Amino acid sequence: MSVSPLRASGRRSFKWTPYLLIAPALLYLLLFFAWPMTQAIQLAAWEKHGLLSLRDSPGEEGSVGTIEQGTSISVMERRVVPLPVEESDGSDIWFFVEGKDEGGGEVRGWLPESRVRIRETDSSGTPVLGTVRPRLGASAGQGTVLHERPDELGEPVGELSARAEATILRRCSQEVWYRVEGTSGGKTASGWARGRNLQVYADGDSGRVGIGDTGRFTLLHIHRMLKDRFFRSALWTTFLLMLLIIPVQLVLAIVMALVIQSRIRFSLVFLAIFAIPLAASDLAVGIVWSSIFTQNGFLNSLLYSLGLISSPQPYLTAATRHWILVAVWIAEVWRATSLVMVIIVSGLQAISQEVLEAAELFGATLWQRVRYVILPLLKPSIQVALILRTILALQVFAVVIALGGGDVVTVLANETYRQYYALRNMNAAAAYSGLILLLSMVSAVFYLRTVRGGEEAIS
Amino acid sequence: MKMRVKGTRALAALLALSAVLWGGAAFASGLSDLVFFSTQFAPVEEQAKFREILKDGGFDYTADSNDGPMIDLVIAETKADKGTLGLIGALHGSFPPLQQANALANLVDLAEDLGESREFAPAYLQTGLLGSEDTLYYIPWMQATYIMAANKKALDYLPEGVDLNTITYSQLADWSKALYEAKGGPLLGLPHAGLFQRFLQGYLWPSFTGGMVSKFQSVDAIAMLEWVKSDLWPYVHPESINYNLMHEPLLKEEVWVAFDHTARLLPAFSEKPDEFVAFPAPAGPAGLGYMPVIVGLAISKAAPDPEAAKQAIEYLTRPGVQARVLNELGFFPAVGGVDTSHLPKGIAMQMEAVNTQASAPNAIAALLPVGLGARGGEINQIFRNAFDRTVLNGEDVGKVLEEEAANLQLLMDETGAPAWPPDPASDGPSKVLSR
Repeated sequence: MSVSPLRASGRRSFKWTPYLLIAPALLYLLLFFAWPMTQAIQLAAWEKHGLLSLRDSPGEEGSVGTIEQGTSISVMERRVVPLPVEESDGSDIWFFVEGKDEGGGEVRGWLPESRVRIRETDSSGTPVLGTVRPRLGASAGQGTVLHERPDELGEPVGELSARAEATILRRCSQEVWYRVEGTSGGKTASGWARGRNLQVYADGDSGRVGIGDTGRFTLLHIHRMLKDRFFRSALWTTFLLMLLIIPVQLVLAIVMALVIQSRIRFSLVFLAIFAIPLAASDLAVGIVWSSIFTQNGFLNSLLYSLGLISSPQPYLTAATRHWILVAVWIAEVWRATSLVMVIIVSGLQAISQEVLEAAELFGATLWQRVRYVILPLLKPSIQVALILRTILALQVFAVVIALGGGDVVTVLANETYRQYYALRNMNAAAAYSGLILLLSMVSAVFYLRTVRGGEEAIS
Repeated sequence: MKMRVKGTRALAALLALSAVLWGGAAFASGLSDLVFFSTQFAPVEEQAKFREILKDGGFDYTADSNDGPMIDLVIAETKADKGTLGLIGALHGSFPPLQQANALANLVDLAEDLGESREFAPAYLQTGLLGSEDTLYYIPWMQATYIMAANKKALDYLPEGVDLNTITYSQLADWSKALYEAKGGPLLGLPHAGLFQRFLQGYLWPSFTGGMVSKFQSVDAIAMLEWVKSDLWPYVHPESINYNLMHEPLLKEEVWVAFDHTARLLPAFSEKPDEFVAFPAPAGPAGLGYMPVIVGLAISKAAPDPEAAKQAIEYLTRPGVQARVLNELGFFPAVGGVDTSHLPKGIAMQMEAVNTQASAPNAIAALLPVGLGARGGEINQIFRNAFDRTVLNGEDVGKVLEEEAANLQLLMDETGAPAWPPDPASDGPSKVLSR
């Protein structure tokens, strides 16, 4: 019985090297792929404040039921729960103050912290003296009412005018709780909730759940994306542009690559000219093409000077949106064909001269050589080019903005941007970007399965 | 080898020199190291002018007209509790997301202190409260609004008996039609790629219906959109969908009549004050709806040096400094007592139009949305949808308004935003009235 040398050595010592070599790649994947992906999925499918837990009694933590954020509620009872000042986490602090009212009479009572500007504190940091803050805006000029207990519904016991001095005698912290009842998702729940989670209307009997305290899985954001007015047109335009751009680019790029590879005179000059758009940013390209197509642009002045039109024609308008699409198509083809070309050129250079010479020797015409030798051997490069190009086509953005303003003709990437920047809806933006990612992955898998490698094809 | 040593030495010398120069420049300028980020005054010419004004107070600033990066930065800095941004200057609408993220310091005491030496309009302080009672999220810095501008050549085609200072929407349509027929093309321009939502929320809806949210789908609103579609839009320049800043097509004479933000029309008035006239927005059947714009100064909770930021706010709200900003940059003061007697011609023209607009007997001030939190952008999109779907895409007006009204009501219900003027005050979320 023989032991394979590999297994024998494996038993003797564990080989760390391959794992060490792969570690940076794993770290990279975790940091730049897995982590942002989970964040994005969470943004798209998680509602952070979706539910409000109701409690058995004020101050208690156990939940006796939940209601959804935004649900209308009826308020049955209100209770003020005092808390030690040290324990208050953002809950209301009240000061018991003493001061002189307008008539010079001494008044004492409770004021919420927000109405007092602290002027002096003692050695331990406890405020001892303040002034009453003036009211701003619509209620400017009004005084501030003192209450008999630390509660805004407490009986008024006096009034201090703006900037009046107030000696702080005591302070306390309190939280307002409400016993509420509301129906959401077909279920009625009742229980106690903190005032800061609720929006109670002026009548005191009704209100709504302002902000929940429990997260939940939700399809709301994805639903919002699907229901978005721009969703369908963005998806459709993106696909249409892909269909229009990619085949044209592929053919053009192969022709360009063959021209360069043919070693005719000045082929390097051609390469340089073809490669120029690679250096331009897509927004710059969009602006250049918009200055061509705009009403007083180069295209119209050319047509006008040739006598083909009698007055400048507007192209980039809502009524002629097909022209916007055509302009985007031309600009994108001009901009990104060279990228495909570079990949194809490198693929062409990898084809051995001997194979080509052999084909020529057997009397294959140029067309036959392209069709039966070059193209099959180019398949791996074409595959890479197609994957890259499709992913880039899903990201078309700046050119569309520059040529059409982004409202009349829109694409998926533009909608992601609109949701994030204009609407500041990160959740719907995450849903959109998730869709783009999904489409990119599906297209990559599609190309990997349909455009097979060159070796088997030639055999 | 020798060459390389030489090259390295030269590089080191260059680095040393630039370090000395840079340090020297910083020392010589004597500017505070406060980082002031402004979404206003982003164009290069404005930056140069505003930088001069700030320099006299010992400050400098950075500008980017997009508020997205600023909002992200401030929220991230607050979360990390480690800040670089000292002072934020932005439009009213940029602040609610920051309020929502609890990222802004309360400036109520600063307002009290500043109030001793200057007078803020109570209405602007009210908007700075962002719907709260006692938290002032920003100090009003400047104000602006939207008005109309016209090339003087267009005045020849003004229909008889029309006074620009009391122009109505139907007169504007007649005028645009006359221009179209005389010149063979539409010459009225609207900034559809710019701040067009304000034209809808603050001008069209209030002027025709008297409300903004409440009358969103009213019979008057249907009639208005039908009218815009048939009587106004045909005479609006179709490239309006690409217009962002209206001074550009005005100066290029692509359009002769335009509506936009005062700051975005100003270059036309300043460059060629003799060729343009400024006039108030038209009035509709319900009145002259208009929208004041407020720019505020705020301090992030994570600001590294709040005292320096407060000094900068004090400097920027001095009446003298506000007068310079008005003179050179065309933003109107937020404090009283600013000398307006020696304004450049272009700005004086705008100021007159703004005053005529605000003091019109039938004026309806439509305020910016409040209480929508981070979702303030959605209301803009709903108004834009209503317009685009009906006027641009030709969908049925009644049906579109009904659908978008449902979205609007949903937004109000989800955010719980109480009504703001011109809509009547509400108890609970704003209501979109049914027809």
